[in-house]
Amino acid sequence: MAEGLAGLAIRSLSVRFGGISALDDVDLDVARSELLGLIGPNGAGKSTLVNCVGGQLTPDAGSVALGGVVLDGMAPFRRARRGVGRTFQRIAVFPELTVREHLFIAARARRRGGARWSELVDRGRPNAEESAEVEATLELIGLTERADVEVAALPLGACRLVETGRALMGRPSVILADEPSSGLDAREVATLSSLLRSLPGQGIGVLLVEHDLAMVAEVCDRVAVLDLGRLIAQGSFHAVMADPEVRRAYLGEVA
Amino acid sequence: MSTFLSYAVPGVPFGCTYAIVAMGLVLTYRTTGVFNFAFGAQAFVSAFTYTVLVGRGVGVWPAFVLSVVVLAPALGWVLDRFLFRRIAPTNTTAKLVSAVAVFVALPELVTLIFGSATRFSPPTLFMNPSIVYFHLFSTPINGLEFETVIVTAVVVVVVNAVLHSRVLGLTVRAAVESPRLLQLEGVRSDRVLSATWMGSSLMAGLAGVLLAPQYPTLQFNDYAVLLVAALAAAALGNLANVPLALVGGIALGVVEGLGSGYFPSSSVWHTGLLPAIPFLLLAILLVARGRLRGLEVSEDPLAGSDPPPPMPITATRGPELDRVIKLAGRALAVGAVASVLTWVPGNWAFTLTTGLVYSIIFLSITLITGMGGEVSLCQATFAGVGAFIAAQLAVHHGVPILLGAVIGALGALVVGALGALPALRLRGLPLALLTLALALLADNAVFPYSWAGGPATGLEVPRPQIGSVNLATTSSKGFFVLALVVLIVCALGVKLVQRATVGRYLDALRASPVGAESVGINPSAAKVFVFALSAGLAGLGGALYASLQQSITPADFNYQFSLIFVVVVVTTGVRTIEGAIQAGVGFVVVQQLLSYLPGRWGSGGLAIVFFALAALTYAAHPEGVVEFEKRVWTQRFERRLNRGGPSPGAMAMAATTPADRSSEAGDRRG
Repeated sequence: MAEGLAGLAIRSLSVRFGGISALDDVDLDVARSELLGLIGPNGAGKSTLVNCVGGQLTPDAGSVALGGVVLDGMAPFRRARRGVGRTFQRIAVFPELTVREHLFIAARARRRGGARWSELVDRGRPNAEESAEVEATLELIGLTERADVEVAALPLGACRLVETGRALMGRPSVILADEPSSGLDAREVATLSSLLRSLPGQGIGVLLVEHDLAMVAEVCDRVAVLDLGRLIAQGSFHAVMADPEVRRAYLGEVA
Repeated sequence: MSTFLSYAVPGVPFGCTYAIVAMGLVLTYRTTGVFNFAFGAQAFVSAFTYTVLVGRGVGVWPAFVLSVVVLAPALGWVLDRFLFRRIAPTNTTAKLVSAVAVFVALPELVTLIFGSATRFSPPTLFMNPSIVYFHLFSTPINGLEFETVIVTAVVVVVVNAVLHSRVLGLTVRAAVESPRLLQLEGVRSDRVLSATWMGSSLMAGLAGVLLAPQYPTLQFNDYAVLLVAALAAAALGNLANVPLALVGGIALGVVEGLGSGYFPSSSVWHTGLLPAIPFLLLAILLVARGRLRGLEVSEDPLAGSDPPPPMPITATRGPELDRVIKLAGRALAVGAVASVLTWVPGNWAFTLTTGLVYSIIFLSITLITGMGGEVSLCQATFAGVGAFIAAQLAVHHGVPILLGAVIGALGALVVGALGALPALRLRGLPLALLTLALALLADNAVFPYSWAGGPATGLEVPRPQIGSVNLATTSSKGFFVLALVVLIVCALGVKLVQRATVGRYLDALRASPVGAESVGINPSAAKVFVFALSAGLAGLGGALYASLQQSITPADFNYQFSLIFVVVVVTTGVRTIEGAIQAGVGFVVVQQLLSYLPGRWGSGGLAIVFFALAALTYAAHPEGVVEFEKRVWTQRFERRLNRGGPSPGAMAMAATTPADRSSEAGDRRG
């Protein structure tokens, strides 16, 4: 792996909610050249893990690093500028902004570090470089025709695509996609799958939390399985699915 | 030791009054999840009615029944039926502003009905205050103090009983969280909510009547301070723990008793620190206690089915109409300015000048609430900071008032930025409460000093001198031009920020803080920026106000003005610059018109009630009533213009209806 392509490194991550152990000593790596699927039954700790990487949740123990830089204690917006992009299980879009405005502010906030005096008095329009990136991403998420529609007027599936596009602006090193396919129809899932599939080739690692096993089987290079906060298996989809512990925990099979 | 006890013991009954209100707040919060901001006003209404009835010869107990058992629940029912029920459960700003409106309007309303003569404290319920019943550690305990302690004990028992009724508690909480979802379960949520509000109001009324005899005269201000002190006590137990609220209330009373005993009455500690203790305590608890931060962050699972707020009509109307209306608007503005400068009589010119100055202060609310999405209850305090800096500099150092105004604005800006620092992790109601604590802190512990708020007789503030033109001598019309110029500059400045990248960031943060932060927007920087700029604008407006009025006292900038300002601007239209100007001019014009009414109706209280009633319309039209009317008229006009086809405005409206977007149910942890 090239030096500049060091990906996400999660070490001994533990989170407790009261007496419940949501994550228990989890180690996980996501390279910038792979699409890693994270699966597990409801309550396994998948979203908790994503929130710890994104900075929305502070873990009780353990460490998260991206590209060799330790992210621990960093606010979510700083992690975003360091190259963490994410989507949300419960969508977190800005209803009054258009699709184009979503992508524009994401591009600007990430790239510039979001603090320039000129931003107080500029016209709030993308420059040539940002414009090109916005148009390219619109194309990628297939929303060019609806670019100037307020997101409030878009169906849920399109909102998830907007979130994915927003997370991609400013070329992050890793994308955390938290159940991006829930609520999407078959065609939207296909758009999303091919979009996610194309990212590792561009040096963007993907951590995909997903319940749709067909989608996971189709797009993921590697799969990791969480159960009750513990990482119980990782490897290729078929190898993992053949693992007896995974079958017991996840598919409810009695060994 | 005996000195210590002689200072501490009298603090206990007073602390009990804090504790009663604190337990009322806990009870309401535990059963409904709602922090009832209007609690203090409801308590005052019952206390006032009780005092009036007793004063007119009604017996103590019949008066108690009428004011507490009958009036208070009825008031709760009315508030629920006509106000709170109409507000979407997730619209925190709407809930807060409506409660603030009630808080401001109710005391004014009862004063209007019964007259504003000074009311002396009413008799106690069942014990004689002039009899010393026994001595505790050689401190005499009179009937009033003894009664307060007994009643507190009774309240503790009742509150505990209610809180331990499980079924009741669960249904009520479900109804508060999502009335619509509970409706689907076949429960009449509306009745449950009505009952809850009636119960809460009863509790407030009870507390109010019990407290009334404690103060020498009946004044609403005492009840506002009491509410904040009680809130601090309740906050000790995260608004959920009855024993801690009780202990917190009594402790607060004892600390105040000790303080007033030990500190020499002329020392800074006595005059500055002592009155500030409850507000400091509340501020510290709000900042330090994580659990309080989640106060009333409602997540109604059915909120996704709410339509999004409509776009400003200026953005959706057809281009020809837009041009015509803008032209007409400009013509109107020019006409108004020309009229003021020529034929409008002096007193009305002065009123309209005041309106322009208010507009500058109100622009600060457009910034912080309209753009920043947060409700601040200390904008009048920021205005006061600007005004007092400018005035003190002019009076004591001979600094020209306009230069002083700029320095005052910068001073307010710094205070605003510093004030934002503890508020960084707060949003919504806790943030609003923190700003209220700051406002009360300034009112009670800073502005009363003569180096800050000037002598009790008022600070004489000069009018500006521009070149050879002295605006004091050339009537108030010169000042009108000055205020107009400053207002235009400020409005353009706000517009610039609104359109700039920062404006987009604020839009994003307002809609979804988590989402905005995930793309790299720094929420703390945005909050400090908005608070500072908003405080600076308010400070500038305050300084101009001081110069216009030529004499100011701390009472001109007390917390009640902050509350009224927020209600006026939000109900008029908080999202647009025009909204702030319409609010500013409307505020003074309505006051001036109502002042022609005879007797107490013309005293100014009616204007406050008028604007608070406008909050009733706010529940239905969160975009502001002026904006709503503009939309209605524009659409009517456009339909007439092109009969047969739908208007462009109507089409834009249809495009923003919620389509098939449903919020993901539940928060499944993956």
